[in-house]
Amino acid sequence: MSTPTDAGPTPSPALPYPDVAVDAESERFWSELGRGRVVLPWCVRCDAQVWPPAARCRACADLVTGERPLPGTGRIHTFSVVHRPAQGFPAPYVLAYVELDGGPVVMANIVDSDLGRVEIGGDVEFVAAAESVPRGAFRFRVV
Amino acid sequence: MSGKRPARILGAFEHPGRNLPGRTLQDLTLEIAHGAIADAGLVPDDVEALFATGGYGVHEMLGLRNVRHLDTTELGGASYISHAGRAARDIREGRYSVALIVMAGLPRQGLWFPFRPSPHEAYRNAHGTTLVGEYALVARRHMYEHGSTSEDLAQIKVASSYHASFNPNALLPRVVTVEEVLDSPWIADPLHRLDCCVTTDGGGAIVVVADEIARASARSAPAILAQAEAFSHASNGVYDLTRSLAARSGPRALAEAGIGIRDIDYASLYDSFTITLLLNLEGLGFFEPGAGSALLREGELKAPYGRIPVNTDGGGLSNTHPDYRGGMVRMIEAVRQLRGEANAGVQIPDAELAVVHGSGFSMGTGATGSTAVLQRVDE
Repeated sequence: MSTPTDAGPTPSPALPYPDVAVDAESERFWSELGRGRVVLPWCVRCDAQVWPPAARCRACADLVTGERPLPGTGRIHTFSVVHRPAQGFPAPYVLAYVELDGGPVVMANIVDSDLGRVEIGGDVEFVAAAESVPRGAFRFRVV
Repeated sequence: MSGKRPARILGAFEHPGRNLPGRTLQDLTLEIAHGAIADAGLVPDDVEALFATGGYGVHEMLGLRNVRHLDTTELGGASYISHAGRAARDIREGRYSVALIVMAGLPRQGLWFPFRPSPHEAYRNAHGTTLVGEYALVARRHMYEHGSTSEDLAQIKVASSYHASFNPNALLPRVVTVEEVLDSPWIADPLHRLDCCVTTDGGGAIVVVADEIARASARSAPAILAQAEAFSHASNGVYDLTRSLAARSGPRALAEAGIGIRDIDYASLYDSFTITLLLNLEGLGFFEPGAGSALLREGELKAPYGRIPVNTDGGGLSNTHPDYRGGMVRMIEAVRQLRGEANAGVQIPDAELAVVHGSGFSMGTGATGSTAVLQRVDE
């Protein structure tokens, strides 16, 4: 077997906050996330999140007027320890899908955690950037 | 569909190159298109319909003068299977008689036709996603839900390398062991390097024609009995990571063809990663999710005598995956099997029915799926 990657802390240095493409429909989501808040656009008619953020609800086509802050807690749906990294990311790091409480399943990273405790179904909480950043990212730690 | 007979694949050409420095996309596309047209015994002026993922302008590159139907539908690596289905339906309706479907790319030279990014891209890029990483997310979830193992996945690579050992053009013609797969470096845990397909230059093309044109030719021309497709996306954050779109497109294609999965003699299934092929086998109904372990261990994917001979050219895992797109070569290997022209040692005796399934883009985020059913025609 290749060297197991299921032990030891999730690696440092901290993951970057890439300058991803943002438009009028998604600007608020990204900047709120950068300030440490998970805020999703919410369709009042459907009483449902609009994910990824959009000006109009994909289910009913109403203009989106609501929003909802989420607690930032959830569970790991699946994960991978990525050894051949995306550009600008320091390998290895943990790529994951997280089931957000009260929200969608989102792509994310697991940081700040013992790799041995990173498992499907495990509870996680949102980790804000140390200082406010223009565009945040979904970073979670195991709780 | 009209009462006319199914359309046929009269020409097929896979470029033998795997690393082609100094070539251009135009030059390569032309060579490939002419290879398939010549294999059909036709000339470029016979081509009335062109299907290509290169976008508007490929007809100019090819200098085609008689094209009156142009389709540049982009479904990633599954595109060419859908193109074949669309051409087959048009031809059966009598809209035209000769269609060329062509793809080419030179990723090892940094050259490929551009395509549109997904609206989800920012939400992936913020988290350092990679294509292998996304399939790794699928693989780990499958292991959790269905108990599959890294060894199961490795057996898929072993079977592909066995087939590639009979293919003089294969990029990786050496037979590998389960241990070699498991010892190869992690790319994105739980996927190792040998769980991933090769990156190659090259491409391929097929020519789909009306039944009467095929009958007038001495060349063996399998019929396209049916084709169906399905799509997934992640909008509103709902995922079904462990179920291939083959579970939706496959039954519709098989029903339209009037056959069951047990009737299939040969399967050409997308294998961008070992997990891709496992999900496609399950999706088409060759076995229940998680129930393939013994069958894989016993080498049942190996031609000519395995119960489910798959990807007898070596597939994307060992032969070629030109331009990061596997659908065309999957189609061409099915044509070879039904013509009796597969490599010696992997030709399935008397192969009559083949299923082809393509998986475009990413099963980990949003994908396309396209299934075709082909049948040998004895004139």
